[in-house]
Amino acid sequence: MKTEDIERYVNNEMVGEELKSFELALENNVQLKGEVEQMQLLVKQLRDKGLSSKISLEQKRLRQYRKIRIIVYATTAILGLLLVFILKNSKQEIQYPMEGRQYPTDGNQMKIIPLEDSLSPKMLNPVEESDSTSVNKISPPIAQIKNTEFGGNSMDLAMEFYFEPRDIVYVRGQGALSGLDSAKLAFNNEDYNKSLEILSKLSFNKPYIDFFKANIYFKLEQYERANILYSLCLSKEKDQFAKEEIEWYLLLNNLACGPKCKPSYAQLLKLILSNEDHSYFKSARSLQKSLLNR
Amino acid sequence: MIKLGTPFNRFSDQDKLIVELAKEDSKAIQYILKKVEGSCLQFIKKMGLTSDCLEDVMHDGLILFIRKIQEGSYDASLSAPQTYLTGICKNLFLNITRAKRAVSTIELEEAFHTYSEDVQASFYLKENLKLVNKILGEIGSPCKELIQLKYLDGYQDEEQINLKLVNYSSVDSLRVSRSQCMKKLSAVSLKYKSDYEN
Repeated sequence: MKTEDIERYVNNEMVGEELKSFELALENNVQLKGEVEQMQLLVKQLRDKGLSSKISLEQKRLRQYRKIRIIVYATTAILGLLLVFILKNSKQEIQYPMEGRQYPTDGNQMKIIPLEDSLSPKMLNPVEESDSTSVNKISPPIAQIKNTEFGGNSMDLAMEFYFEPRDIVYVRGQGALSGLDSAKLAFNNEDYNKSLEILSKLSFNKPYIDFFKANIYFKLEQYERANILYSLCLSKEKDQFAKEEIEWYLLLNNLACGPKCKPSYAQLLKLILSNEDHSYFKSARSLQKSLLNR
Repeated sequence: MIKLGTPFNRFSDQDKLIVELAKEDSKAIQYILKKVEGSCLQFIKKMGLTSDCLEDVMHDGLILFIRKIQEGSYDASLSAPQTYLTGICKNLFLNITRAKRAVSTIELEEAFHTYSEDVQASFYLKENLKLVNKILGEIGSPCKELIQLKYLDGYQDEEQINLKLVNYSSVDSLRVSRSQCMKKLSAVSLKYKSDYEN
């Protein structure tokens, strides 16, 4: 019997008459029976080897799948953490300058500004008590806290002459898409703290931001802070026209500030009035007149 | 809607899984390996073994299980394929620890195949796989490739011709050549067997 026939029989590839005659021969031929058994064993061993390779391959695939899964999970976890971190940071409340605390004024400088009211209550003469047995006391007046240095309320006068600089006014119709637009919109809505919060997050055009902030502090009646920022802008500004604008707002700030700032107010007013070409010459003269009339 | 693991879901039908395992289908193999891995891992932890032997045992266990399905000695009405394979693997793990006393940890359902039967079959399987590696390496080309295509990779003779995997123009000529190779292989196998017995 040919070896290929034995192989075909073992692999169940024989059919019909051929199969019958092979089986008949197998019954009568001991040697053939032995050969068939040997072939069956060999084929079984080979098939086991084939199955073994297949299982090993699948196990390798599962290992790779597991690795990929770990990578995907790890990446997802990292991205998730990153997202949480970003969201957390974006929602973090900005610490606004509080009384006596450190806060960044400009650039890297940290300043401690004691936020006392720029309009310190004016001490009045002690009131003589009619009762001689009582102890003389000095007590601040309750309602007399307004600055009357310039013959009336200088704060009101400063506000009267104050017009929001064109650069920081929000133009209607623009979408509040950029941070700056949002800050302008908040400023227009008199939401000064919100405007400050937004400006603190902006890093471009530092002098402009400082000027904006100075105007906000002016509106918030925090004249000392406004003074610092106006002065800073003035020292950095090179453009004459812009310089003159800052001088004007600094003048108004010094006016609103009251007696503390009177010397610098007078000096600045003199400076503006000495230059007829100054952009705010007329405004300054008008301000001077208003003061004299009071 | 597409669900995760869709390619494997067809095997949630037990009968389908058994049929595909009998055909040695790759996806069915992957499916059952995944299903059984967890319980095997749990068992080896319980036995104080390391996970190094996990793949080897699952590999041998699955060959034994597929052969049992093909021979018809696995009865699906007595235990599910996953349970049965887990039982085989547990027996093989127990053999590693030589702690047969822990047999009480095997569920009754998993104990339809005997410990010694599985261990012995696994031993022969390992020996045979080693032997096949040796004899295939010894017979060399082209016999090695001809036998590999038919018995290891599972290509039909017609497929080999059509796909031009071999340089034969007819199935008959391929069969003749391969049968000569099988004769050679058988002779080498017998030689190794007698060497081993001696």
